[in-house]
Amino acid sequence: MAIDMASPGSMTPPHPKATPSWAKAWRSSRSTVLGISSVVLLAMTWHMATVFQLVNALFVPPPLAVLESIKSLFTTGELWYHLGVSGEEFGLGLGISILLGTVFGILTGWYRPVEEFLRPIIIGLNSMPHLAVIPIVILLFGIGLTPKVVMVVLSCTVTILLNTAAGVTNVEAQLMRMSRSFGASDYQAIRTVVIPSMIPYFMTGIRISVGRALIAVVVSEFFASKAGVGNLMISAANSFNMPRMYATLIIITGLGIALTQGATLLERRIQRWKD
Amino acid sequence: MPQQQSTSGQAGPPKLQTHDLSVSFTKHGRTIVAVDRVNVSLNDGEFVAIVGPSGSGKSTFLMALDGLITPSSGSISVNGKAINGPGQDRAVVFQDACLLPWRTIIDNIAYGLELAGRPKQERLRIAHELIALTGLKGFENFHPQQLSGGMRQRVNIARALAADPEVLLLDEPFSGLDSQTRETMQSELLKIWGERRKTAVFVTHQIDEAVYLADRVIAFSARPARIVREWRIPFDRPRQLELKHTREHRDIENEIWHVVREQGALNNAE
Repeated sequence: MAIDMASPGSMTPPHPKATPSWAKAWRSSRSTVLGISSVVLLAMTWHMATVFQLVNALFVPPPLAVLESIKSLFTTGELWYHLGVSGEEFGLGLGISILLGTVFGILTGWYRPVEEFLRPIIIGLNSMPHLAVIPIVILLFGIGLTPKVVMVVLSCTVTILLNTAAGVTNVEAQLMRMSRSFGASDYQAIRTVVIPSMIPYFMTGIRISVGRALIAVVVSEFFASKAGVGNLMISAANSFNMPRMYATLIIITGLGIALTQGATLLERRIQRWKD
Repeated sequence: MPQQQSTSGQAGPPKLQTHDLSVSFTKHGRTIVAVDRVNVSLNDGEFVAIVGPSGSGKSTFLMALDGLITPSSGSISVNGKAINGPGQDRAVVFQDACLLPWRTIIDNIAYGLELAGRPKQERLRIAHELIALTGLKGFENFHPQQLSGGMRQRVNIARALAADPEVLLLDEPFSGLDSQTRETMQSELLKIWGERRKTAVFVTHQIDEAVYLADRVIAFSARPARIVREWRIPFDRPRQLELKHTREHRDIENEIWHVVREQGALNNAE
């Protein structure tokens, strides 16, 4: 066969010599072991600090009390109710952001004049510290579902828009030309070239937005709300129920990690061809 | 100037013909003529190579033949019928393989058939035939970035042939390859072409490649591209790589080299 037929994936390992089994085990589990150690170390330091009263127990409860509080939040079902409320705000807000961001992203990426027209607004929205408008949004929309959705939309739309637009403008001209050469109609070229090239950019926008949306929901709930995980946390703080406040913070953090990781996994899954 | 020597005396119109084909475009308010009144005529199954100094408008000419660039004057016809834009009767083998990175090799090869709306089973059957013909067996479900440059060009060729065009247009397809892979691909192309016998226009700046592959070599001038001269390549087919190292091959290469070089010098003197 031809010279260039060497099939990929047939490389020999760089170290043919036998490595001790403990070294292999360490190499394969190192990142997990080290990662868990840092969290355990932090929890132990925290625990010791409370035991030896290095910190005021009124503001920093012992970690076991926080753990207890997390457990009760899960078992009483209270958490699920608040998660439901926040989840609705989050989902609705992100959904609207994706819709608006994609439509306007495609328009600004495809039509130069649209981009020029919208540019100042996009730059403004992108540079504005979005949490700073919470008081205004509350004045305008009250304390229910609407202001949180508006806050999520304000936080995420521009991110998705900019990434989508970058995806559209970065469609390779050569691939478009190839597609046209094989007789593609506009619709066929968009379906087989433009959309697939856009997806990595679009997914990056989604991954960043997921984190931003969570921040918008929680902080908006701090300001004015009747329910939601942010409300849960601020109510605990106001009633000096410190274990519960920390418990909620840890749950929210876990939620943020899960959402971002989920988006990352989805991103990889969609682009499996890149490996 | 010996231009349209349709020596074969066949009945009917030539497979591919241009008539006073010119291409110009506007850049910074200036009109630049890239191709100037070019007349070529190819018989069915003929392999023509076009050489010329770099930047001479060879590729522009080829893109005009495909219909991706609209000529400013003159006409192009396939089987005597004037063409207007890209069509199923012509297919391009691009310089950079231009494969869709998110598609597998088999789906890349079937791309043109898919656009033409051919049923899935037929697409797969044709694509598998070409996989076998181009030596890509075992790579059906790979993605382009897992393949070497030479392999990607095989896919590029297979994709063009899958659409079963009347005319194959090749735009310096081996220019990005190292010299060994390039030679392998040249003889592979001859083998594949020997099976399908498509009328072919092959643009290259490598003179040895042109002489080795073609029935006829046409030299373009420096911009704007005009036909300077053409040579009939007398070697029998099938051709082996050893042919390149014969005296006769070298002599023709030399002759063409002098003509192209002269044009390149003119280009630089501008």
